[in-house]
Amino acid sequence: MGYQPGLLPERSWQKLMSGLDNHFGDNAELTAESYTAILNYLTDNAADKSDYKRSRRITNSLAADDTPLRITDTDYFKRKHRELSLTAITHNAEIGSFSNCIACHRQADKGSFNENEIKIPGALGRWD
Amino acid sequence: MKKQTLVLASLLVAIHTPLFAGEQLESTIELYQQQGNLSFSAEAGKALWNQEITHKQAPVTRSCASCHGSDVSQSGKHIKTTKVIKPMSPTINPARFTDQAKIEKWFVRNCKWTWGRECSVQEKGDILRYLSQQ
Repeated sequence: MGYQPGLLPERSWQKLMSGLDNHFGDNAELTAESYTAILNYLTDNAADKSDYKRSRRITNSLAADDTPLRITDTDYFKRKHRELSLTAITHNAEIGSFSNCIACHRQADKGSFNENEIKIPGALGRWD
Repeated sequence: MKKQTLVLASLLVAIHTPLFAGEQLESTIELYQQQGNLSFSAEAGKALWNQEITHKQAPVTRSCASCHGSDVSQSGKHIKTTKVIKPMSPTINPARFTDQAKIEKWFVRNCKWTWGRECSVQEKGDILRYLSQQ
């Protein structure tokens, strides 16, 4: 799935898009045309420009000079996932990493992160 | 009038129907040939495919094959991101090489990541000639 622009503030997307030749250790460079279109889409719909409740909470959880490149580095994300152990997520072969939203948030690709849509693969199952 | 409409309709179909893997691949190879009056060899392409480059940062050893595999009829696995990569063989995976812009995009990304520089037209042509026969 593609991460929705409302998951990070505009300054984060700008920073991320300025380093696509080393995108979390990979090269994700784009042609000039795609670059502009994607950058505009991300910045126009960034968390700090959105009314979506989780976008507002993500924005509010960050200090003004905090520019995270990872959604998992935002305080809002950390707070929402603090009850989960590494064993449950990172060491679960069907998930692999906290960056794999859709492994548990089954509607994440549609931008929906409701609690009742969560199903953790393996032993934990539903999240109540 | 009817005939004109039909011609127009088939023209539109021609424009909007994606080329078959082989067609686009051959036309890309031809484009590269014209860029420098070059000729390409599958053997050279195969050598490039497996050529290992040493990097300072992990993964220190990188080649095309390290993520795509030496047998391109099989799926590969990215050595950094661990993402599964569908087979590069156009015979096995006909969706490969059907879009010129996509071919160029991935040559830029992967040549830089794997070899630390962009590939020459000669290298790209050799690699595509090799892959076209897989």
